[in-house]
Amino acid sequence: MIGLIFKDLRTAVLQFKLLLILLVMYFGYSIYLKDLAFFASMESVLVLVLSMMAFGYDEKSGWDRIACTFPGGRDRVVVSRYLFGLIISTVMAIAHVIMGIMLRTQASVIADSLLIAFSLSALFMAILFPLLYKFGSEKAKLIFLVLFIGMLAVSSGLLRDNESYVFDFGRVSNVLILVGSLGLLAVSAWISCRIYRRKEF
Amino acid sequence: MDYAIEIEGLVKTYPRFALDHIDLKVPEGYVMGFIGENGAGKTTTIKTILSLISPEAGQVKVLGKRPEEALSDVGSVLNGSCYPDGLTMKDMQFILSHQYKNWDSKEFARYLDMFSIDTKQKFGTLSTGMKMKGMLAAALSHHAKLLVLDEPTSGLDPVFRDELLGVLQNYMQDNGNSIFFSSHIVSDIEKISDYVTMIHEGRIVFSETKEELLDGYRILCLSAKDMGLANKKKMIGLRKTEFGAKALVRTEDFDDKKYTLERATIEEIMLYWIKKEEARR
Repeated sequence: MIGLIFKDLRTAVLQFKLLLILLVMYFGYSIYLKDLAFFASMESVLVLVLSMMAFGYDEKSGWDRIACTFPGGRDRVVVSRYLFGLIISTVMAIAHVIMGIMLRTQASVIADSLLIAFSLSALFMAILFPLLYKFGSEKAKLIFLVLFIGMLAVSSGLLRDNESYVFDFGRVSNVLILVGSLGLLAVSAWISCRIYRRKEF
Repeated sequence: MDYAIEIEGLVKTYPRFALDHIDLKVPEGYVMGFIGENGAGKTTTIKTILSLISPEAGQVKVLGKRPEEALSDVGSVLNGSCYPDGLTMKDMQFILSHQYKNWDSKEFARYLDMFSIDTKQKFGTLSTGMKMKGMLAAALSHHAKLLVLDEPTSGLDPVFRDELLGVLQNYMQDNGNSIFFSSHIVSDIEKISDYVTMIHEGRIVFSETKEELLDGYRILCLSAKDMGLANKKKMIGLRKTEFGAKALVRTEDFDDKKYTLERATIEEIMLYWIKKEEARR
């Protein structure tokens, strides 16, 4: 599995320039706004972008056909992709902490926003990855976009009706949020494995 | 006899194409060439051997196991699949060394050196031939007992092709190693194969040793005058020429003293069989 994760990280590093530009942009804008929440919201977007790029890259090169001829079963290919997503999320989390320190944000606020950002990344991955395995990157992007807009619309509606809703999320214990998001990701990985096992190349 | 590949009654259906009860046996220690025109079913058959697709019916055994259980002992090169463009062979060495327990870094380095591939050069910047060689180097570097190659010489110039065939011949020096090698470049198959199997429109037309095949068929040359005399039922595909006609026939069916018979190449055998099948439809 190390080899497969290395492959994803290596190809992500190839997009280093793009990643660096985006990070600097978000960093700069967050400092200008003095708003850690802005950076937090962008973290999950970056995780999404990098994950989608990894899937697209594989499709372009026909990598799955090669990866599925490796011994050890197809589940390894799927699990390594989830681990790659978690590694990227962790890198973003580290950037989040640095950002928080630079903005002299309170430690508790950094921790809360970090958990929300991490949970959001996990939620996005949990929804997106099975779609990518099922429909391929082009169709999955569209489906996810529709779902994303739907989720935004629903959450905006909820906010209008009851402004405290968003803060309720913060009251849930940090451990529960973390366990919940990772649990969701595990279920998503299980679904993706089932899809990928049946997939024909 | 032990078989590297055993396929019995394989069926796989797509909207416009089907593998129709394929039976195929590759004895261990031999090279089987798998021929057929584009779209005949070569790649689909190979995909079932590599467990990339699941058959609807029939059984596939690779080295006596289910295909997915044998992957550690199988080296493969797939037509149309490549390593990611941005990666180097050095990256691939790291990735592949974590996939195969028997990975041999020294062997991989030896092959890359033999093929003059720079380990730091990105895969996307290599020529088609070099990419193929790089993938072949990887397939050969984990002491696989079986090589499954899908059109490995396609798109390569004759010098490259000859070099590749030399490497495959070297691989066969190890007793027990087997190769299943598909190509529509029949001359390559003729050079290297012990057995030749032909597939046409998803059905196996013949599967014989190369000697049986080359001894078993002849090209019958008929003048316009002889056309009416020869038994057309025993002809496999008939081609009219300027001076009469030529047909593929079984050697035992025609007495070479009475008729002009020429030795047939595998390519001719394939082309006449296709012609026969097309005429039948």
